[in-house]
Amino acid sequence: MATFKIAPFNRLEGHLDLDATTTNDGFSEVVTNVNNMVVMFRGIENIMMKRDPRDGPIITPRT
Amino acid sequence: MNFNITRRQFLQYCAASAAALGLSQTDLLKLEKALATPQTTCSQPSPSVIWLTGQACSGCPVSLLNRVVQTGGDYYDADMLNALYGTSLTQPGPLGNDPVGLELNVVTDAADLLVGDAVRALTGISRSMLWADDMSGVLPGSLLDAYASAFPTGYITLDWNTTVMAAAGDIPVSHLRDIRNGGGALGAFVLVVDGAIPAGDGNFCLVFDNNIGGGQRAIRPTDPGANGYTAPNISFGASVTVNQALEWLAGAPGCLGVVSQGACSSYGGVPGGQGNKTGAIGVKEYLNSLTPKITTPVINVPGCPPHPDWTVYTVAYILAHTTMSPFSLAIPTLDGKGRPKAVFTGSTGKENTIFCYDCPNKDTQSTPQAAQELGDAGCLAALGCKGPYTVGDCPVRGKNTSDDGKSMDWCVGASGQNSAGGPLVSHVGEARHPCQGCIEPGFPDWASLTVFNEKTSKKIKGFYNE
Repeated sequence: MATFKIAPFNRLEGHLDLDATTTNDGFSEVVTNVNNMVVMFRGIENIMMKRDPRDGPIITPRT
Repeated sequence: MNFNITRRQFLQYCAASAAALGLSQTDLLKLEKALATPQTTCSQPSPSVIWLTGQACSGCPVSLLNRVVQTGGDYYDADMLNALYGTSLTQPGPLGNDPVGLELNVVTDAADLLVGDAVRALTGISRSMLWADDMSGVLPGSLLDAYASAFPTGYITLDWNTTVMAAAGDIPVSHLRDIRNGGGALGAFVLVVDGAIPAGDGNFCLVFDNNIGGGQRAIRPTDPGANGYTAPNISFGASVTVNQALEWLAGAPGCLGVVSQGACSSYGGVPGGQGNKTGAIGVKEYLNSLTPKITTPVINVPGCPPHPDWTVYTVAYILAHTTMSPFSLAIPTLDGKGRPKAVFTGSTGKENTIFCYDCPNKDTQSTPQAAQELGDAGCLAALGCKGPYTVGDCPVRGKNTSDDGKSMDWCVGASGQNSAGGPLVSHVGEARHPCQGCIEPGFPDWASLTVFNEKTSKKIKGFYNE
């Protein structure tokens, strides 16, 4: 059994880390568990609060 | 798309759009001289570029990578075209059938022009892989050797961009450390940043782990620092925040300058909007807030997203004016907000000329022909258009491009009649939305909160008319 972490994860728009666990099934190491972590936070919901609803089409496409 | 960008094609692109790019004939001559030796192998100098991503939406790189322009025809190998486009495009050409010479009007990706095969290499497809008769040159030695040998024709070497690079985990981090500590072909690099910096707490944005494999750390206290920087002691394997990464890279002795790509990294942008919890600010403001300050020069290329030409101008200027040995970066003249003056002015060329000067609707401003409601013809100032406060060349540049490379539209566009009764005509299309001022500091708050303030909200039919 082995665990490893891939950070940064590539080829995507944004930030992602990936944790994987492998287990030996008798023949080879197979991946048994993967967790991914979104490691960037901007709080667009907080920024949207108390604004006029018509600000939505300006701000939410920029996420 | 085009897999073999030549020096001639790059110059062709810059010459064809010299006026639009704000390049003078002198600039073009210098550019031609600087590119006199094509960067055919990594052993020849090719400026390294590290593209760091903070609190971003990736709109900036996508905008740059999707820019296409029309360049002249050229001859291409039929087998490559078959592989790329299928057989429908192939036909006997002037050179016979084997190889078939095909003259095409190639629509060229602006990013390809600059980056050449670097993006292809980072995406795992190098030019030599596509040319079947040259398979012996594919991926020699280890993956890191491949990194070193896979940049045959680009004018810059894009050494780090998580959106497009092929490798993940500790391998590219190791490469990043090499470049940061002078391992690039020129021993120096240009840092491009898109996305805001969470000054409130760096943990809101983590960019990589402090691990380059073999139990070694990427950021070490012994790393050389310059411009007021001393490297911190970050434990092995810990997540590195974008704040630490930015300081580490901008504070490197080899970091010649920082290009802040987009509204977020220039001035905070949407993540820095009112009500945010992360303390997001722009790169220049962040570097100035440190003690001691990191004094690396910063060029702001704002916009949400910035027009690709603005980025191309900045890079073309740097390429044209930078001296290669010793390598020292030349920075375009900046205005008071840290932006290249040449492209962030209107057609007058004067600083602080609002873009209304070039707006096709300017005749109708403050006249009965001005728009009173969304959908009306004429000037949009009464609807909260930020043109009167925005300094840029949007009305003459246009935003999107069609397949033939022609500019299609921009945010405001033209509609209605001028004072003489003739139609208002814009050479670019008509989106008819009030300008949001995305190239000015304070976006989005000053745009959104005042576009829809009490006074103007009543002028928009069917919406929120309390």
